[in-house]
Amino acid sequence: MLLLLAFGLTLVYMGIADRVRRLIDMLIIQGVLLFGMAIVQLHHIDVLNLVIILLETLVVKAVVLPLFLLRVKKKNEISRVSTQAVSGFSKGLWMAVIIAFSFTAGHLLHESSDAIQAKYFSVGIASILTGIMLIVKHDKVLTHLMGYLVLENGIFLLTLAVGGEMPIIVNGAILLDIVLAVLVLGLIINRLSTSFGATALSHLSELKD
Amino acid sequence: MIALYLFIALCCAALAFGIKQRWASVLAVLAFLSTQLGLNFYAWGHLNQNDSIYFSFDALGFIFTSVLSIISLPVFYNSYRMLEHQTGEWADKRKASLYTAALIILVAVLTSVYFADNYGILWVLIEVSTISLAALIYFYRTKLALEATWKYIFLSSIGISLVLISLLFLNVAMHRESGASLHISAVLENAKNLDPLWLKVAFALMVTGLSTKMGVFPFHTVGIDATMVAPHPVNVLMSTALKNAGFVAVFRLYQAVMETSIAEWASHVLLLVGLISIALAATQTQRTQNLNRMLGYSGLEHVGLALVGLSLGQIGFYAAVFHLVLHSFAKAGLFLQMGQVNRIYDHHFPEKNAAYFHSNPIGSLVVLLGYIGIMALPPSGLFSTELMIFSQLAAQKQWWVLVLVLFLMTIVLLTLGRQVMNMLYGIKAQIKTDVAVVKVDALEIIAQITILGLMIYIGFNPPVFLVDLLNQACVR
Repeated sequence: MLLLLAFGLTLVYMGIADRVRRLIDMLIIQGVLLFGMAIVQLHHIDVLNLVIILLETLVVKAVVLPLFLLRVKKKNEISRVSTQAVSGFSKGLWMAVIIAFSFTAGHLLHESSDAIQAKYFSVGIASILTGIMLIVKHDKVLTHLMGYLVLENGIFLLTLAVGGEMPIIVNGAILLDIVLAVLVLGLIINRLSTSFGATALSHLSELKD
Repeated sequence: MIALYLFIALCCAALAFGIKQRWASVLAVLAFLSTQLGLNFYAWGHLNQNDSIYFSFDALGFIFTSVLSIISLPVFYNSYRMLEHQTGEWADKRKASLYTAALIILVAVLTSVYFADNYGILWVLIEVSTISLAALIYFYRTKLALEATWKYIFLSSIGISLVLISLLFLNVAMHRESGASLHISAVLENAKNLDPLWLKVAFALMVTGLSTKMGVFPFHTVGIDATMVAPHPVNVLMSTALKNAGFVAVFRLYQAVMETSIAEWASHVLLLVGLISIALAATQTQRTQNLNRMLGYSGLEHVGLALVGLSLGQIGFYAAVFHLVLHSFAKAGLFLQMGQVNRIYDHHFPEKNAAYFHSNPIGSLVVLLGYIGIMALPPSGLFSTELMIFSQLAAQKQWWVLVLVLFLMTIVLLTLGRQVMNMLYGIKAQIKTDVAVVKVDALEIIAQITILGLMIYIGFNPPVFLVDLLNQACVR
């Protein structure tokens, strides 16, 4: 429960943070928390799946990807999450709506089906929605990438909520998916910076009717 | 067998990518195409049999694999000609070898998607297709290509994440009665016992997530943006085989959903997505001048119509699958010819391509035939499938849908027609004197005419075995 609460707090902080560095710090914390939750929830898991989850959370989500994002941030001199100032009140309001919606949905769905764990489900949905909010409300592609990672963390929580283990090949593919997507997108951000001289979405609008 | 097929495909891709020489790429492609055709014949001989626990040679998979195998032959040949044209004497070896390897992997994973009998594996394969397509879209290394690649990977990743959430919910929907199996056949067998609430959420997320692959609303833009900048052989696969792969994945879940109490709800979802897609195609074609983009919107219209067909029940299933088969041939012929146009001119805009009849009369006939094909004007084979869908709409007394679809499709027909005529004859019938009459590659033209001819022939005179396969695919 404490781990979930801490995860929820990182989401709120990410929702209102202004600096890219803060978002990366939160991603590191989320990686560690996810590992803790996986250990608590999946105690009967087999060794190979455990290794993959260890790799996915502690190694990839808490170390490799944040380090890579820090490198991209430094190389492209990105410090703020958005080029335009978004009011803290508006962000806070959005986060309040997301959390209220997630817990209501989790509660209602738990009532209709006992196959899910409401707490994990609610925080998972909140994480997915926060990820989507980070993508929609900000115009920098690096923030979008971090929003995608928050969304993926939400999916990880949903797998814990439904209690079903995915086949090992799917778990491996999820891990590969995250690593490849982030590495490829990170490299593209570097190229975007070189080609367009900026990493804001407004510059990526040449493809149109 | 499919594991072996994938292994050989991987070896071929490694050969092309590892040894950056023209001979290695040609050898890899020839070996892969032989394997592809071999798998096709093997599947024909082992129809309705399982291939390991993850794959199954069913009729639906076989139909779309056959379409892909037929299209792959000219796609690889066209790619070869394009790489020669692009890189002179195969000068940019790194670029050419990466392109060849990515194309082999794309065809292999799409084939495997058609035969996948497990949602988890299907998800993994669709994920791999995104990565290989990204490498292909970025082929020209331009700013536009970079923008398209970013959008494609990012939105596809979001879409794939939604599909993963859908699978988690499908897992929950299955828990009570049949364990946590993600096997497509198991889902179908236990369809009646699936939890309707979770199945609804899973289906909605699956349709939304796979819209990046099917190229329909809401994530249709990624594919259309990519179509604008990707090499034409890649456009062929994106507009045909990739859309078919997304459709197959949705269709398999829809077949299970049809056995449940939410069948009507699901058919309304598909009808709505289909109608919005057709409406978007009709409005967006008005706004663009780029013929590639227009062809992309035409794909949006056709898959949208196939989804409308799916929403109509058994006859609609038949019409939808057949429609996509014929659409694949029509679009492939047209996009392959556009590749030739691209090599003749270094731009896409129809105004500047005016008087194409003067430069390339045979190629112009192919464009004209392709246009007639995708617009479903007789003798296009698509005319028969559209007629089936419209008849079914009339039989079910869905008059307002019928009128709306006909109206929107007429707009696309006229808009695309104007651009195609403009490209063929020129705005004021002017002849561009600076463009010499080019020598056309006979083999490319023969392939394009054959594919378009196939679309006409099987549309109006479908062979008995194809009708049997289509029936099997729709009543699984």
